[in-house]
Amino acid sequence: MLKVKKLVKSFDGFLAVNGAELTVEKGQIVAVIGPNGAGKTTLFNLITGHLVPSEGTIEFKERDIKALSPHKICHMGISRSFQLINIFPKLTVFENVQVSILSRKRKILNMFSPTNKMLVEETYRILEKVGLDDKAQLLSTSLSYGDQKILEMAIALGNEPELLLLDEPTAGMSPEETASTIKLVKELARSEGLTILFTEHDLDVVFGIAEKIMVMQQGKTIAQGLPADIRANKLVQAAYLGEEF
Amino acid sequence: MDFSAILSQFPDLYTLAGQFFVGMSRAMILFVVAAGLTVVMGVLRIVNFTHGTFYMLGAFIAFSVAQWLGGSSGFWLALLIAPLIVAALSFVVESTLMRRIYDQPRLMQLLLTYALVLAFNDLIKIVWGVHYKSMANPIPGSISLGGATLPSYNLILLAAGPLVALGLWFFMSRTMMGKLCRATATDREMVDALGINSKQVFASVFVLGCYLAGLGGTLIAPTTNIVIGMGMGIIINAILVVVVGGLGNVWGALVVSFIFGIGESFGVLFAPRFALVFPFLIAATLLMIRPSGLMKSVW
Amino acid sequence: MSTLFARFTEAKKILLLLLILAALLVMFFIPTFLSKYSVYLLTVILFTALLATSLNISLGYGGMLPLHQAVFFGVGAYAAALLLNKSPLPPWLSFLAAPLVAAGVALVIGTVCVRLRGLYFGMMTLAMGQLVWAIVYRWYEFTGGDDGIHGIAVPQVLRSIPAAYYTALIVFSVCLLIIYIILNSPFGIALQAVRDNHQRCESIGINIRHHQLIAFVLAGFFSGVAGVLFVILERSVSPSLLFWTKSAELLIMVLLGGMFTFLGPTFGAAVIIVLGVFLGVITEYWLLVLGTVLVLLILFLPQGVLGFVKEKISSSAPERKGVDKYAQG
Repeated sequence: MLKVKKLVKSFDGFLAVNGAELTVEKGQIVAVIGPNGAGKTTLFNLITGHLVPSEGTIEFKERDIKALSPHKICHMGISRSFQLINIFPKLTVFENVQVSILSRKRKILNMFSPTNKMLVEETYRILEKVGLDDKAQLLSTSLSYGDQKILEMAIALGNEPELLLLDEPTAGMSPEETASTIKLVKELARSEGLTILFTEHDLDVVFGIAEKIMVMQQGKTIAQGLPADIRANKLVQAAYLGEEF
Repeated sequence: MDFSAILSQFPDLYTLAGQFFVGMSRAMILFVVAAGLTVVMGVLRIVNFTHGTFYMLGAFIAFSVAQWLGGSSGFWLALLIAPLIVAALSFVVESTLMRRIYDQPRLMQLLLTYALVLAFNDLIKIVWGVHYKSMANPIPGSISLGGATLPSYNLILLAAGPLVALGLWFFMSRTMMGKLCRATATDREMVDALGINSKQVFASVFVLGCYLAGLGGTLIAPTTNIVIGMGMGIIINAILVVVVGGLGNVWGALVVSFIFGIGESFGVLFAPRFALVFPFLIAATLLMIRPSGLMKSVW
Repeated sequence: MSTLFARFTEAKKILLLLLILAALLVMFFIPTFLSKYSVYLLTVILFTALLATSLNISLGYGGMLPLHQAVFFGVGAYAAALLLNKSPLPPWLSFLAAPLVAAGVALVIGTVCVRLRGLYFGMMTLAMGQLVWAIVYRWYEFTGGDDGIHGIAVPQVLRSIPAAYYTALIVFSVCLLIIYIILNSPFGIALQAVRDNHQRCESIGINIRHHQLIAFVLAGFFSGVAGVLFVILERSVSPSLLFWTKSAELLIMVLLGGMFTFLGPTFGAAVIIVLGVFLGVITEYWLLVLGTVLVLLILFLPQGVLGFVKEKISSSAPERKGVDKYAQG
């Protein structure tokens, strides 16, 4: 479904991504791991079009997407959540998700229908799924940190993506929140038939849900494969030497 | 094609040279004002509409000082004193008002400085009355430069620009305070972390910038009618010079002031009535080509 | 949230609606009992309020920094004046065409500006706006230069202050209703999403530049409508309508009223104009008073007066204090 080949991104000569390789098949849950500064978030930004690669190719459903702008890539079926909270602070929880659905249905240029009566059921369906339905009418910034991270994911779900990118979905969460979020991601993948690509710091989480793992170090892909193979890989062990593994 | 007909319409070389020097003189005034503004905008990150007001104040104070002293030496003393008075006033404004809004959203800062413009306009009206003032030219007569005749006073203006540029360069690169300013402009948190009082740096920069505004006002005073509202026109041009030249970049301000001055003075030759249009046209074009300024911006 | 009414309960909503209807009813009968000058003043307030509200489409709802909205007001007024005086078009068609001209100019300026962000956006609007001003100021043959245009051929029926007042009242009400509908439509919600978070909008499939440009053009259109109302009342135009200080006045009105409330700009416009008239009678130096009041407001009440009041009465959910960082672009 997604094929990244020999991807390079340089910022004024600094190679943030330097030879990333990644293949994601339909229905898979794939994790990208690597030490801090390995280029994981940059890789995500390249895939979603927020950055333009210096070299290499990104193919999604057999189409080259590397020169497309983010909103076009989104309409092709890739949606994402962000590492830092990235929601609409002055909109309610309900509107946060609703606007994402409106965008997918290409209704955002409609100027004359009152929005508060549109797509109510669909929006609530997503909010129920992630467990935010009882907080729908609150201002998004009044949610707790953990709930804002969940909302982050709910916004991405509003796009009904085929491929969902989650950038550290549990970053900053308490252990309980982390556990329930992981459960949620697993459930979503099953019930929605989603393909998921995620980055994560917590290796327990990674090995708990990933069906395939790609390891980056200094912008390069040093290994890619099944969790068991990755665990046994010497290169990966070397990269993580001194860190919990 | 009849070239002689075209040539006869084309202004002769002396006229061109004359226009060039006139344009340069205007450019230099604009530069002196914009240099002050670019330092303020670079370090304080505030779009300061009051800068135009300090320019206007410079002109009014220069008028009063010269009148009070009388004689031909009046202007020269005013040149020394008036900008300093403006700087002192700006210190009061900084320490009572400006420093309270450094953390406010940009729009609020903008409005505060505009509110001050309104208030100061009326204060000037109260002090100096509504009628325009004019000052005697300290060096009457004209001289010949490169075949073009030019008011002698313009030599002062032509010298002022490079002097200010050199002075600022010296201040920024050779003095401790200047280095602090640059450091604060690029990384305020770092400066704070080093235990340096960035408040003091801000105040100094604001006063320095307003001194230059006052200097610009003093310099232009003998060549024009001193009127309320004279700051309204130059402030927009100065802001555009700063933005197009790269925020906080003195050399950028110099280059863009040149372009504006030359553009306007040659505009006068070819489309006299639309000379006013040229600076805005140039600014819009340059912003389209280089949205973040011709030279490096510190923002 | 997005609307003035949003946090109110149903009962409060109905109450507010009744209040608005009552206000309109009073407004309707005003010329029968108020002085001519008061009616004139109300007309000025009406078109200025429309102008300030249109500015707030791009400022408060779109998160842009349009530092020179008055240009579209001026272009609308000049277009109406020129069409009435120089074109064979029937007057009503001239009135319709003038806002379209303003929208056209907004399209050109907007196309250039939406490529830029934040302060640079603001600076570009300022440069382009002053460019238009300079052309109007100097193009004597066409615009009358710094003299402006006087004795505009406004149809006879509209040439009285009550007629201008009723026109302004009707147009103002209709336009505000339309703007309200637009801001609460999917387009409006998406516009507020763009204001709140550019990056996130891109990744849910919204073309930000496109969206902001449409909002900018809409704002230009409604500013143009305000310009037409100005021409009907004053029957003359001058370049000062598009000088940048006029735009600064508008920003003051919007910020005074509160830029995240729908009726804030209307309120701000009314306050500033009334203040100007009353203080103008008392003192020659009313701008000094205004400047001082503004400084105090900015230092102590940065969310705007109506924003402040709204915060006090709607206690159902916490509102973020002050003007949000996103609004500065």
